[in-house]
Amino acid sequence: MGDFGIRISEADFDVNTTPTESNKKNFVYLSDENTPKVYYAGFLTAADPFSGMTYEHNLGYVPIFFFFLTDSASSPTYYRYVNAVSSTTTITQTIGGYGYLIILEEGSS
Amino acid sequence: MAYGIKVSKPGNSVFTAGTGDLFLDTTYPILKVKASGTGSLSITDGGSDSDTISHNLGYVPKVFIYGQVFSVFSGDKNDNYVRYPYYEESAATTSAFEYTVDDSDLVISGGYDYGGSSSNTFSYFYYLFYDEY
Repeated sequence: MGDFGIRISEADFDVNTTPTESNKKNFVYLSDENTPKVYYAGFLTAADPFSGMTYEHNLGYVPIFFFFLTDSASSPTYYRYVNAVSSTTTITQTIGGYGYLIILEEGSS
Repeated sequence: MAYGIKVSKPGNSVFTAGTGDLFLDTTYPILKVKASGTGSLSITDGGSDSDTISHNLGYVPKVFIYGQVFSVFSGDKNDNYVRYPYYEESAATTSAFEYTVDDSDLVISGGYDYGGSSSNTFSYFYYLFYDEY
């Protein structure tokens, strides 16, 4: 049985080129390579700016995540990256009224 | 003529949906994982430690590193994970957990100076991608 999958190359790079360690960066997508998957993306709201924001992911490992403070959960006018903390079950940001959290379903602890 | 794949969210036409209404849009590069792993840094107060992960790609790749850190505000290791680089400074105490990446190596390093004699082991994990920085 032959190999099946999807290859999509960048513009001006021949998609029929055999992927190698040095040219995989020239492919937009290779279905035989692992890619981060979005597990969660959404807003969090704190009870007050000093009570903290917590999201329970319960993945059992620390995932790749990005936390941004915002000024609203419905119509934010800015996103500011902050260094929130994660355990194997929760992600917590201690200060701020609103946040936007992205979790990618990869990672280990 | 452009080629690729678009997959729209339910209720949106794949032909007209904006980027935010697409699950997949190969107009944009998708991160491809080259390597991932875990490790730890063993540090005594006033010292530092580092690990080198060779990738030998010949260019600087994108990376994500998360790990435990020493907090100069609590005076103790934080068992939770934060994204590196991470820096704290207070009075004469400092804590720094960071990384450098070049066309051959990813170097993850950490150190703290709290004026004491504690020793700690800080776990980390990394993801290194084929995608160029």
